[in-house]
Amino acid sequence: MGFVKKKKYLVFLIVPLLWNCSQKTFESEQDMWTYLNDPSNGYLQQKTINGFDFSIVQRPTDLLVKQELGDSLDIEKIKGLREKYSKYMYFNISMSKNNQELLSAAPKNRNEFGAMVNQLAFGMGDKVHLYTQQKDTIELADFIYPRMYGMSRSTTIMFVYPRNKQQLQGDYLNFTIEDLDLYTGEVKFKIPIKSISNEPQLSFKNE
Amino acid sequence: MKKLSLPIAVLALLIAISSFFYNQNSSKQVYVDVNKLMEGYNRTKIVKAEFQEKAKTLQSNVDSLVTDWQKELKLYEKERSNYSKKELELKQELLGNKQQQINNYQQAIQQQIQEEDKKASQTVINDINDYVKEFGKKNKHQIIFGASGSGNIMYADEDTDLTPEVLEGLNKEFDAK
Repeated sequence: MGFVKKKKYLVFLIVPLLWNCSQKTFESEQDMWTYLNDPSNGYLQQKTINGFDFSIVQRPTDLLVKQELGDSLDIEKIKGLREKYSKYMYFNISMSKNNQELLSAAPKNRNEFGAMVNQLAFGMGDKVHLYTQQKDTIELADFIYPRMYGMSRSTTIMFVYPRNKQQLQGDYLNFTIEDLDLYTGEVKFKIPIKSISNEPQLSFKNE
Repeated sequence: MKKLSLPIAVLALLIAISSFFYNQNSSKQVYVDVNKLMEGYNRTKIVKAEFQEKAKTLQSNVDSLVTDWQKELKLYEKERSNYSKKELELKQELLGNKQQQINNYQQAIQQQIQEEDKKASQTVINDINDYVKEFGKKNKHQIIFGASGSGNIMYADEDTDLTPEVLEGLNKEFDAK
């Protein structure tokens, strides 16, 4: 009888633990974005330095799978795409001033504008760094800067890094953005490893 | 059941007492000395050295231009008796223009040095701000004041000074290998 009681207590202890560790699953992209955009969930971090707003959001693999998959629900295809995209980690960096893109808010003349376009389109690989707590740098695989020509409220760039299990140990990764001549100094974000290894998924059912 | 009630009561009392002291400790008003943090932070020394190296290179560019100009001026003074009136006027104009250009360049360099200094300091400030914020959250402090020696904290008990603790953690994180 005592053993049954102990078992009951164990269930009460283990279930919340498992619940905490389990991957979150969402029915739709919108639901997932709502979850990701809530800073208390740890996927979005924001900072304001000298009037410039910086934010970083981790983009889970399934959002990229969904983007390529479209409305298809082919299980084999989903499996293949998950395998393809899960080799990398994706981070969206947004930078703005007064709710405007950097190119609309920061440059004071044509020369500065030209230099910034060049920096954003080709030079961000030298300005942005991802490294472990032990200062091991994770090499950038690629970055994508879509120009929005003033139609967006922030300059958003997606950075892609290889997902290497050996480097995903410890508590967090450091993500730094060097000063882009905005007098913000180096801006650093700590990305919890837990949120990378336990990223949310999409259920890929009919929405 | 009666046997259990006494240990439970004792346990509850212990939890209540410990939580009272825990909350009291974390809710008291504490501060850090920002100047001491800036001075003691290991990154400040590195950033400062990098900045000084950059400033030295920029300044040496100006110095070499000034030296060239001084040489030209000396040559002009030495040979001015050989020049015709028109040549003298032309040479003076040339030297004047060059001096003006060097002045403009010097001003631009000074501005650039100031901007570089601003960027370097901001990086250190960002690190300190981030760490203090994280430290406060982790240790459940309600508020951490930043004393900068300009009179915003006139008196504080030694116990409320978190500077050594924060500095140690800050350097430990920066030096982690």
